[in-house]
Amino acid sequence: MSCDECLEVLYEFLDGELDSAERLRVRAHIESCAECFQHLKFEKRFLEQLRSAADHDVPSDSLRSRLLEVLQREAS
Amino acid sequence: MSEQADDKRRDFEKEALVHLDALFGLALRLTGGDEPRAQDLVQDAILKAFRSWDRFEAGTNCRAWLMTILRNTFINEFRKTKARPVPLEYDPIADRPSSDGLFAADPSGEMFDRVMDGDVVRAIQDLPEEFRIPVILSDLQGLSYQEVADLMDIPVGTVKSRLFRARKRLQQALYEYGVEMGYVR
Repeated sequence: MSCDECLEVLYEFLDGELDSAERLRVRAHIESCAECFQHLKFEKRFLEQLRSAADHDVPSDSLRSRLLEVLQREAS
Repeated sequence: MSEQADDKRRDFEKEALVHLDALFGLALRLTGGDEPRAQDLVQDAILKAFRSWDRFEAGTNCRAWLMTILRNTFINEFRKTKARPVPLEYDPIADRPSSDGLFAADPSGEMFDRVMDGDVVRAIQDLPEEFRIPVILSDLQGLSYQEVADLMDIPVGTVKSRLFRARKRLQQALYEYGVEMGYVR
């Protein structure tokens, strides 16, 4: 596998979208290529930050009272 | 109101409304931070869930069930308004390899640990809807490419390319923020 091929499927590798044969090919390349390994670490860190920063709850107090009224009407 | 209907409502409120903040968080991400639209989306999803409450299996994951309803409600609306495919413009930023910009300046990606959550959220909100939705469904909701493709009614290859371009746009936005804040040069 070339570096270009590896970088092209890096997100699929990180997203768990590759089949086992393709995963092994990427893994073998990364183990022997420092630059692609660096790319992998970079993208992994980015995705972790993306997920932890954006996936959180948002207080919805005013919405709660509105929904309680809607449910009351719906149930009656 | 009959006693039975009252019991159903109380039961639903107790089990489902504890997940309201999580639902609202997801709705805000999906709508790009549009609060009124996010509130309407949560209300529609909650009403649908309440009407189907008899079919919910007690003891299973209520949060996941509600998230799926909200997601599907949003996507149904999205698909109605996007009946005709919108051609995506050539995007020189997105098509730049990650060896440019941020990767060259910060190959270990340390800057990602320094940016504030709010900046990441803003960068996601600024994405065009066609890019934002795959990111939310894949990165925040953990759906597979095939599941995103099925929901959005687009080919898997398009999901891959939109995810790639969306993530590059996000990196570019965070890079610009990092430069502004002096985290990277």
